[in-house]
Amino acid sequence: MKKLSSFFLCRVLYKKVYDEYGDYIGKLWDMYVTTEDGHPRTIGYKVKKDGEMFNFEFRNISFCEEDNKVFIKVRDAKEIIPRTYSYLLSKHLLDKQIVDINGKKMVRVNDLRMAEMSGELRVIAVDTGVIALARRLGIEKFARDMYKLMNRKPSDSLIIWDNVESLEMVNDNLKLAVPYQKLSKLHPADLADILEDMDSIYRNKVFESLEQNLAADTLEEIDPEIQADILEGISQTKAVEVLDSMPNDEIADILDEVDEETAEQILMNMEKEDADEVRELMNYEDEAVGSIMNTDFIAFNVNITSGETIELLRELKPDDEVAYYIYIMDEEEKLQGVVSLRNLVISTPDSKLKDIMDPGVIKIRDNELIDEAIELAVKYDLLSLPVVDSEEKLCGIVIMSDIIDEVLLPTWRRRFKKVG
Amino acid sequence: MKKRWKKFLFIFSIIGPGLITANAGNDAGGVTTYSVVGAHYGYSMLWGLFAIGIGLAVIQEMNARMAIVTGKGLSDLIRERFGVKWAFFAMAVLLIANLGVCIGDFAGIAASLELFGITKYLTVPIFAALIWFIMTKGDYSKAEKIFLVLTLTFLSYVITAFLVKPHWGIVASSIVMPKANFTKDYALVLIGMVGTTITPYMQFYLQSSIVDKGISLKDYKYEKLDVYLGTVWGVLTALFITICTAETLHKFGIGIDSAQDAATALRPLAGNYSFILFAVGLFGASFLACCIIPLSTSYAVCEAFGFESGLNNKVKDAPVFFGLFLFMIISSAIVVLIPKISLIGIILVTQQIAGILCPVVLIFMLNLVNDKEVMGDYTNSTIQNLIAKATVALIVGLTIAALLGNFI
Repeated sequence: MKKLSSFFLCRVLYKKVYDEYGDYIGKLWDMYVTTEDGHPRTIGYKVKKDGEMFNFEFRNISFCEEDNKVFIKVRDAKEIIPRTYSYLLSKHLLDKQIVDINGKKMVRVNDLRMAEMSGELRVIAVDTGVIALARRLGIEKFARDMYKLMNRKPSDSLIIWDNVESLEMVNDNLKLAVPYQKLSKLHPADLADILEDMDSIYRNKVFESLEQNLAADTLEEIDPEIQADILEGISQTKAVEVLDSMPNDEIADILDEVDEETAEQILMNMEKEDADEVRELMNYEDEAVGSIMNTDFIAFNVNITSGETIELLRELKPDDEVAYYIYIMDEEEKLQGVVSLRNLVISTPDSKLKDIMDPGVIKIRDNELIDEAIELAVKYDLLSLPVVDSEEKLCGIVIMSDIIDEVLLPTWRRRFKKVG
Repeated sequence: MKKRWKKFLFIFSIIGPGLITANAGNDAGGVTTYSVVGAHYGYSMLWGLFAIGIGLAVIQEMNARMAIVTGKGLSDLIRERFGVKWAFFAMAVLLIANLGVCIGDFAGIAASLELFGITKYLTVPIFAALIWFIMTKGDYSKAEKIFLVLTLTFLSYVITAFLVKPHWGIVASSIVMPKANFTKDYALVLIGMVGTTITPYMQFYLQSSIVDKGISLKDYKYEKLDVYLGTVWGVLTALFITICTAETLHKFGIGIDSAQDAATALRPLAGNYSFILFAVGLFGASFLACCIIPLSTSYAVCEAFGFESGLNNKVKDAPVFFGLFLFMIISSAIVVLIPKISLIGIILVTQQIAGILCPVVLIFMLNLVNDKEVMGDYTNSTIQNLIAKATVALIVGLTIAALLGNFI
């Protein structure tokens, strides 16, 4: 009889368990694990006998193999009351969806690879492959033959535990650990893709756990309809917290999608000044420049020097996308000119903005069509375009990457569906 | 005022999945089965229609509740709660039932266009290719709208039902007092009626579309309304079709052997042009179903086994998804193209298969919806369980009766 030190969970699950006297104590129903330190470690097991469940401590149990049959033997089986923060492998992990961190997608757990590491049985990898499915249906040989027949190899489907994140096995009781730690290391755009694939309930739970800035960056990348679902599903405080770190134009876009009640509640919880601005943005027609303009732009007075300007920029720490051009206005907030970041940096520190600016700045009215803005930006090779209201006052900027995201990409996707 | 209008629009945006699903029930299988029910059995099956209607309302409400509470599709839940083997069994049943219904709807496309004198050897391959093209390269939501408009011609059944001036008292009394000669054939046609009204695929389709809409628990009341409205609409349409065929065909002892016969039910409204109304509606409904059924089957199977799915993938990234989709379209087309096969016969038999398989899906659903770990406080009430279980018992009873009838 050979002792198994590494095996698939489904090979031992529902197999009979015998004690040291050879008496049958039940079928192995499930295993308790703790996730305190990395790889889930087995701490107990559950046995079913005559319709009743018994829990035992994970000790003196051995999994053996003879003639391809699995035998489970225990010594001094000790009944226990399972700890409340432990998880069950079959109930919480097997057959569930799990995040593949490297593949950046949701996958389904078809089996679990278990291995003994310094005397403890741990989950080391997750199997998501077709062969694992076949194994559980009892047709592994048939499936392998089919692959051979088609002259193909089943793709490697084991994902090591470090590269997955379970959605269910999150330790609520251990406040110190960051939930979904592996997920929060992903790029917001990748995280957004994963969240879009997730069931709404997990999605809200994961989103709720994200740190404020990551949550905001991720939300911006998510599909508009799902954005609305998330805002309606998470707590008010979290929603306000996340929106607080987002530009007002993005907020206006999202609130356009959510239901009236949620939108009103969110606006009421925002600072009045921001809320008013968002409301104003929401009033623009969908095709108008105003509806996609960014209101967090940088503008300085004509009379300050370039040295002072650079000093101010250091303090403001603006985002990349709004810092390409510095817009210049007079005392009445009327647009006077523009200086590119390049020209600002290479000018002497004591030169006035008035002297280095380009007074022939290309601009657009807030109620003009977005198409018009695209034409202008393309014609003059601009990365962003200032927007003025009826009194020539600067009220926002249109950023090309926003146009690509919100206007060009959706139509492009529709036109070139990737199937083929 | 603006606020109330917005609220109204919001409710309207939730209402949809239930109505569309109920409408999809009036596909080739539905229209043909209800026509035969009326033509061959008059009003004697109306009691069954209403019993099934009540069952349908309860079952679809269960779907809506499961979708909203768990945020998961039905095949997802079956896999997670019952494991690989049961999921495999459920998917096998679903695949057989759906393939049947899909064949029925391809027969619907063929039958409707044959009314215009176009042979099925031309139409079936063309439309099989067109479905693949629309789904993979085209704009399905646009196509859906066009074909939904075509199905509006079925409203002519409502008008005709009033034109033929049926004895409404008799209609009403047949609903509450079953008067029937219970034979093997009666049981089979009744099962077909169950199969087309509570089609297995509908349960999967409805639950997924509610999940996709991301409706939250606080808007559950609107979704419930949607589902109930959908059921009422579905049952009423069935009722009107039955009345039309009962008054125009059953009265004169004419049976239905072809689509031509079925179309004559609309004669009181459209005279010699009745076949156009019938054919256009049948074509629209069948075409829609031929798009939705293979798609929802692929989604359900891939969801259960964790294969890559979705129309936005490349074919080689989601081989199982597109493979299943193509398999269903091609095999359905081939069956319909068998020479000399009776199109009406195919449609009726496939609905009966769906009806016989229906309890399997319902039993899975009943187990899930009563599971406290899945549903929390939202498990079924006693009355809901009673109705759903009675529906299962009715179908199983009918199946046994029909099968026994075969041996006696």
